Amino acid sequence: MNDEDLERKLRRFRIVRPPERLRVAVVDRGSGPAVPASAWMPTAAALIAAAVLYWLSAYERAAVRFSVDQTPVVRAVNVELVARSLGGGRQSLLVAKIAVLLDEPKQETTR
Amino acid sequence: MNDRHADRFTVRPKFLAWLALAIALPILAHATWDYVEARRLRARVDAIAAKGEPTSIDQVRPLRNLTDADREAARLYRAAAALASDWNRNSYVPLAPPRNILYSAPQNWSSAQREEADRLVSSNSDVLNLIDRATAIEFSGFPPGTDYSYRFAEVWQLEQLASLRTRLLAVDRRDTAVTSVHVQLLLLQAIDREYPNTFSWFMETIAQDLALVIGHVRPTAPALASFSTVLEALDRDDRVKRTLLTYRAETLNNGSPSLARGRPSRLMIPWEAMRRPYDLHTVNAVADMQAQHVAYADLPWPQRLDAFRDVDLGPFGELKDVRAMQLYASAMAVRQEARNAALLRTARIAIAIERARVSNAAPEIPKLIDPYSGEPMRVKSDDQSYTVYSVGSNGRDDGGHARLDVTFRPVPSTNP
Repeated sequence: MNDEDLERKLRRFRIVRPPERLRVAVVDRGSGPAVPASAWMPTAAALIAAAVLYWLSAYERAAVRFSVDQTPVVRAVNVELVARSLGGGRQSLLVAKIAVLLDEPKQETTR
Repeated sequence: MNDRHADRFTVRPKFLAWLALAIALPILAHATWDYVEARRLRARVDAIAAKGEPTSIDQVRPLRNLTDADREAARLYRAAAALASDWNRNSYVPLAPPRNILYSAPQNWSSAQREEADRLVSSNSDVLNLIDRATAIEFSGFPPGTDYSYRFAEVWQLEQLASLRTRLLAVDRRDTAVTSVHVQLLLLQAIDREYPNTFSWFMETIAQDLALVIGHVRPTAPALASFSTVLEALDRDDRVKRTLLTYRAETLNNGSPSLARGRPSRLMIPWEAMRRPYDLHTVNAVADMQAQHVAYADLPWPQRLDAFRDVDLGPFGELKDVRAMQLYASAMAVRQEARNAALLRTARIAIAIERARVSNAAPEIPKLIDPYSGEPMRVKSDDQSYTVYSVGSNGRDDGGHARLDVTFRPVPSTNP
């Protein structure tokens, strides 16, 4: 068997080209029913809008919380006052924070 | 087979795009609702603050520097309460004989009840001494910073003990009953500054004790003048408004978990984030309703009362809606305050009559309005005594009936 005979035999088993529909689906997707990138735009826009609204809501709630719960403000003033009376500095601030927290009235719903 | 795989491959991205949009749209709706409710709440809180009304419990009971007098009075109250904490072990079953002495007229006490009253008062003489010292001090309140304080419950216990002493002294026709009831009035003043919504717990007993003392002991002109001063100071028209403003500040502080103080991290509680728009919506709705109630509190009597006339104050049953509970609380506060005002005003008129009697002058009865009818308070005399009365919650003149009307009748002594 020479080379030509061998080539003839192998040609019987070799796939020359894939079926046309499969080729289109794999190689030439642009021409099929694939979804364009713009189809994802509404979803992206909705998620971005939701994120912005959540952020705005958090801002509004923080403003409300500042009005209705003034404990942190009072605490900060007290810490500064105590720290100053202790002589100032980092160590005084640390001690003042602990002292103010310990001194704060606690909820007394039960005895 | 190859064709089927090819179909599935090409359809999937389109399906995913729709699925993602279907998920994103409810998230967008949730975010929009969340923002709208948060924005409404902020506008509401800003409007309340602009009117100078409290948006925070801290503003209702502000952190302030206590005076030395406050500290001393608070110390004495605490000491008295600590000593008295066990004074009436069975107070939780007040109707169980023979210890129902607090809830029955002292003139009708059995000998066992009288004995028990004597024992309680004498064994708590130290407590009563501390109460006398504390009430003599100008007191503006306990150390602040708590939403509710057990100290109040202790003061209530002290008031009960003082009431028992007053009754004992009054039935014995001892002059010191006058001082004792005056101490009760001063305790009421201390409570009024701290917890106006609990005023009625004290007022009922004190009105009864005052009537007993006036009837049995016949206080002197200076004593009557001091009663008159305290009662006039207590007959304030803003108590119900203060109470309703406190309720609203509590709603704004604690109405939503996302606003409640002391929450470590709201992001760590996904369920709260999920329900937050509804919570904020509820806070907005309740705050709106409470704003209306505060506006009602500015109306004169009895329109103030009429605004809540249709509210059912019966048992809640299955109704556990926050709005319903707040409506109930507001209506209850206004109705209690109507009764407080009626009791205070009947007492004030009775004291004016007594002052005229002591000084042998024509009585100058203050023109006080009946909160239930909007008309002047009524006075009815008989052979034994007289009754100052308001028409009461039924709005009908029942001739000074002890239960149907709100009455103040100096209880005459049966002993000569």
